[in-house]
Amino acid sequence: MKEKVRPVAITIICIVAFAFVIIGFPNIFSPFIKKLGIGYPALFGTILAFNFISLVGVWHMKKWGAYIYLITAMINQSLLLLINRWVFTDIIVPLLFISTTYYYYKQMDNNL
Amino acid sequence: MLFGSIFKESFLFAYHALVSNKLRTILSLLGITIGIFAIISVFTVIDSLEKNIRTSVASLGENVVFIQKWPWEFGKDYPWWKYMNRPVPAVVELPELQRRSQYAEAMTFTINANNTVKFENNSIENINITCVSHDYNKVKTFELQDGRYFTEMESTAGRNIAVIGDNVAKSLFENKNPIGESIKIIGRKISVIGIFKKEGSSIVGKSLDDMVLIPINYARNIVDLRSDRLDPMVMIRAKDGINNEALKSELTGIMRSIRKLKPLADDDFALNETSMLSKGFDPIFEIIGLAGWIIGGFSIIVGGFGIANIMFVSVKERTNLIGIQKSLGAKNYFILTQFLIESVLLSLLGGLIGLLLVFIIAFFINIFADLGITLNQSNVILAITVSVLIGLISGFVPAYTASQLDPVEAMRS
Repeated sequence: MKEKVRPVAITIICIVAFAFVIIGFPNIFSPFIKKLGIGYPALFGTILAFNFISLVGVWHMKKWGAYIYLITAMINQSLLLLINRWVFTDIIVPLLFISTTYYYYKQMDNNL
Repeated sequence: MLFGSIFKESFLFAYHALVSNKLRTILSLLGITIGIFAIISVFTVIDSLEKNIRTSVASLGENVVFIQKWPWEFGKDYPWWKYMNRPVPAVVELPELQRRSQYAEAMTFTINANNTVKFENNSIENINITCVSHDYNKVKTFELQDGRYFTEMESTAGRNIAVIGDNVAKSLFENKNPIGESIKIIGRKISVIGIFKKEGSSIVGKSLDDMVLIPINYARNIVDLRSDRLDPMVMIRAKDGINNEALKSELTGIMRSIRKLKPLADDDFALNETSMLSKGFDPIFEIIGLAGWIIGGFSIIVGGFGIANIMFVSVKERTNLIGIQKSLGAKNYFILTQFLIESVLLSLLGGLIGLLLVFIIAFFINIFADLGITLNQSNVILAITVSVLIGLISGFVPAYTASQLDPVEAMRS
């Protein structure tokens, strides 16, 4: 099965998002998140893990990657709002990612 | 059901892969072990110290205000020159405070000195001798394991009696019952009438275990109660329903009146409360936590790269096996699950070893230093969560690559 050719825009936005995942990983056990409650590190960690998985999917031009990214981004933003930690800059990368993915959505593959 | 059988089969595959490459497995999980160890040990120490401080502060009394010369402030900009000429609280101020205060439940005047305590041929140096007025038992929370507290008559008369701590009793009297025996402090005989219940070491203030409590009216014959060195203070417990702010406001007025301070003059006394102590520790814990978080966080990321690397090697080694599995009908998700479980298991194993190390070290620290360091539930859950997640993240790319292999090309490799 031949893999779809990945557009340059998707490559760039994926690399940026990968960097954010790696930088953001230590945040899941930061003292601030730990103070929120016993389940919060696991919750943010799971979101981050699925975020990473979705990036792998989008990197390989798979539609499931785009879906997972959209869901995790929505949950993440809602959670940040809920704990009163949402700032405007938090939405820039997800918005860029979602709009880029949407633009190339039709070129993406349905299979796993 | 289907997921269960896939999980079981994947688990067995992963287990055999890990067991057949023991050295490689151990080396690759070391990164996670060190990362989890670093981060959880720092969190465990911080959590335990915070808990100990809270307990110690609670034993001092959360609704207790201390009138002292020096305020409990922390930091490098402590303006000591403003406080050094202040008078120390005097024992004669206590009756006036008691008479005028409406919000105080009880108050006591105390001084602290360190001295050698002797009994027959045994002696202990540097023991905290606390001299108190009668209502000390109404201000400070404590229990006695044997004997009794001073009666009002004994306190007023300044009898040579003492209540001693558990460590003092054990060190001086060994197997003998201390009640009724006489200890010697500065060459004076003092009868033991009570023993405090064991409290354990205290981070804030002095532990009752290493204390000898004597009536202030007896101590005034031996020491100068106005000596700055003895840290004289008045401890005041607020009545139920009265908060510390209200009590402090009332005490400020009374103290200013007693000391006849002019309206524009600064207070020449400090009103301290236990919450100031715990607040003083917060910046220290924040810095330690941050350092542990950064060090541990990067160790875990490095460990994750190690696992990803070993998983790529594992996929390369088993490419022909993947080809055979696929040709026999194995679905992509089965191959994906198999490698993902392997990486999660590897990471989890590393995390659990890290946790075990923290537990063992905490155990030995408690044996030798009795610091009360305990690995709590939230840190165990955090370590397991982080291990599983790093396994999932670092194993996904190799697992996905394996799942996408072409069966024919995979078998040929």
